[in-house]
Amino acid sequence: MVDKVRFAFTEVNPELGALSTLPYLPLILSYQNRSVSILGLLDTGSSVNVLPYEIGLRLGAVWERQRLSVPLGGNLARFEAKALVLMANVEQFPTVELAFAWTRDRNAPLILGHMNFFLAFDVCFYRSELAFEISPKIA
Amino acid sequence: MLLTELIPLVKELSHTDKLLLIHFLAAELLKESSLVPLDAEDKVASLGLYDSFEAAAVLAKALAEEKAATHG
Repeated sequence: MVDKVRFAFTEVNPELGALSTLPYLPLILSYQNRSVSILGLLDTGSSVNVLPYEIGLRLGAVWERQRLSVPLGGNLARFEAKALVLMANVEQFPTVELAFAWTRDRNAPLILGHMNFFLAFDVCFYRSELAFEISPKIA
Repeated sequence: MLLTELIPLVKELSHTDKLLLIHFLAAELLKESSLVPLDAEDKVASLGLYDSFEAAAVLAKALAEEKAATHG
């Protein structure tokens, strides 16, 4: 099995070109019997993973059934958030459980942060090459 | 205790204690209504996602509960 996969940074604004590139990771999130293919922003500056409200709904999660409230800071502090554990697939790596702060904010991006994305995967950034490499945590 | 019994006792409180009692009652009502005081929201808002460690602890708990439910 390949132990490391390289991805290119994603250009967000064509007018700004390389200045607007960000490390977005394609992954598949699953909950019960539903899946969504999505891009997640690798954010080493975030303590937590964040799931936008709409994505949780598309996965069939029911807001009222989630028990644990998550006290987010920053711009998302104004919105209620609940803990939601999803299954995640990155490339051909083994499936992992990712815990998200599922925010009521409909405009929030999907953020992959320290708890627990960066506990499940090692990531090496090559910003000057506009690329990053990712490998699953060695058990 | 009935309110009619409490009121004479409240009247005996000092001005400061009456103000503190109002503050206490307001905090109790907010708590019972699951509302966050405005000044507390400001405190949370001053933090960022970069130091939402309490949130990270909640997610760790959610993961542990999920693992326990899945693997017994």
